[in-house]
Amino acid sequence: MLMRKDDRDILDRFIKNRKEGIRMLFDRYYRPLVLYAGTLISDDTMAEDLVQEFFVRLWEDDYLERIRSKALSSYLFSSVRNSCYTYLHKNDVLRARVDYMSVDVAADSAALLSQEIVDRVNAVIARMPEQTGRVLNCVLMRDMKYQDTADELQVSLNTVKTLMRNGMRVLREELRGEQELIMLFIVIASPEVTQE
Amino acid sequence: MAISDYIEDLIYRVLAGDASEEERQVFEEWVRENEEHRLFFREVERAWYTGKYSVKWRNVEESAAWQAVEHKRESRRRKRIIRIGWSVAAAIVLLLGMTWVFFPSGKKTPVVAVQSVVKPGGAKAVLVLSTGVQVVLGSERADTIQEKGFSILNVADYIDYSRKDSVALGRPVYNELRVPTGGEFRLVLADGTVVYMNSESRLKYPVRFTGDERLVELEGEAYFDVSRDEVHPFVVRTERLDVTVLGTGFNVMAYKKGARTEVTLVSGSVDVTSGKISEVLTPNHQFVMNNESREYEVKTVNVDTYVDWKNGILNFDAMPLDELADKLGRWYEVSFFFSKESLKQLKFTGAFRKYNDIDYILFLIESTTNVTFKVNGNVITVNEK
Repeated sequence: MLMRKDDRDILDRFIKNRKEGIRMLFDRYYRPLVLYAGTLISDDTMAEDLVQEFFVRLWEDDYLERIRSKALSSYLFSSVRNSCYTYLHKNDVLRARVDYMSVDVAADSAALLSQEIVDRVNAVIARMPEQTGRVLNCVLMRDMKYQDTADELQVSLNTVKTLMRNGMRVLREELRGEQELIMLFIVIASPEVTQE
Repeated sequence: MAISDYIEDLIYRVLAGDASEEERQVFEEWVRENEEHRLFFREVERAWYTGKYSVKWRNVEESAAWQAVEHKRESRRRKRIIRIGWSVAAAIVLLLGMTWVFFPSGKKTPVVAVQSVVKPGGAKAVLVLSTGVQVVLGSERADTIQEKGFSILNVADYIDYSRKDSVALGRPVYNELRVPTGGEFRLVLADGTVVYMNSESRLKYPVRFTGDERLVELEGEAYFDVSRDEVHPFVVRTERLDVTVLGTGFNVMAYKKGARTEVTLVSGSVDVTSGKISEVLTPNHQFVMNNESREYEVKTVNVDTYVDWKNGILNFDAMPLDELADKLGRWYEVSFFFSKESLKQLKFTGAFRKYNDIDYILFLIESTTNVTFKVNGNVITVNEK
């Protein structure tokens, strides 16, 4: 799990002024946590609800006073993952995704998001050929199946596959540079994770 | 590194949750084959999620969410304070009891009345005049409101535009009646049509009808008793559809946040139009449109269930609890929180007078369905029994 340097400031602030600290944490992590939760449970409203509840718990309880800044991000994403799995289990919904390896790339990617990266990705997509952008929009933003995407855009399934590949290659190229940049100002956190 | 188009395509479909079980197995075997495959997958995966999150970023609304967090925390605290409050109260009662035992000739002990903060709604509305001036309605005494040389009669629970003492108006002058949460109001339009407005609803109408049709615009719910005029059809415009009538009684429910738009006909006949759709309703029929998909159907209904609200009755027929919660919420100014998603789908049938306290209604629902309610201020939590 990766850590950004502003986590220290958030925890310092939380100890001095709880409300301001929670607000800072919210500004920094609310969107990433909701987006991450949304990939674990495919119900965006529920994802928002779970994350909001989590923020209320953080506000009311003392967890954040005891946590080390290096582990903050891990802690947040693990807790949200637990809430999501609990929710899924309770409702007896089959888990849609399986972890292929120990590193949770979805959580890492969410933790590393910033307005700057978001703007950059969206700019890259905007520059893509129109139809490629539409395919990415259907599959990535609207979580549509390939066949539904093909139907909506009135193209063949193979066209969707090809355009998806083209689009993702451009995106990967763009993010390869981005990743090296990110590595300059993050540190790899030590493996221990404080769990709830 | 040579990765075939097939594998690359497969990875995207696995990530999109669009691969078959066999394909997923092929993929997993491929990933485990060697380190190179694993690293390739990780790079693709990172780009996938970063891309996905970036395009969805703006969909996650922050300011309302922050308010929700503050609100949820507030109601949690209140719950805790009430709990502490109760133990303090218990201690006081205990002390008082002891005082009573020890000093039986003492003064009267105070009677502690526990009162619910939740109150039923009532006649409440705001009238927006053509000048933008807002008049708060619902006061006890009657008076008249002046609007461009035109007088509107204002009585406790309704306003009346039908008095014939007005001067001829050149251009149509529009007023708007806004009924808040916990409100209801009646309105008599210039042509004598009576409109019963439900909570969280607004109607825009001309103070005097001019032109070929009598057009009004509705958001929310209202019952119309339209006075007959064969020459000038009466049109109710909502976000999703238009209802055109000559003279009849019908109910329109068109809440902006609602899942459906409903037109229920009691008497006469109405035309419902929406885009290319055009349906003529006969009495005891209802036109229902799904606001999202725009799919619609016309069905036979027990009309009382849909129009009883104007007679002071809340009538529910096999209504899912989440819809029922919306209706109670509009009238009692409360919000419901379901502790479990599945509870929203439980059905309730029954009717009660809407001027009752909410506790009575909640008690009735509790006794007939598999839920319990917990009232904290204006937030009602629905738990499984």
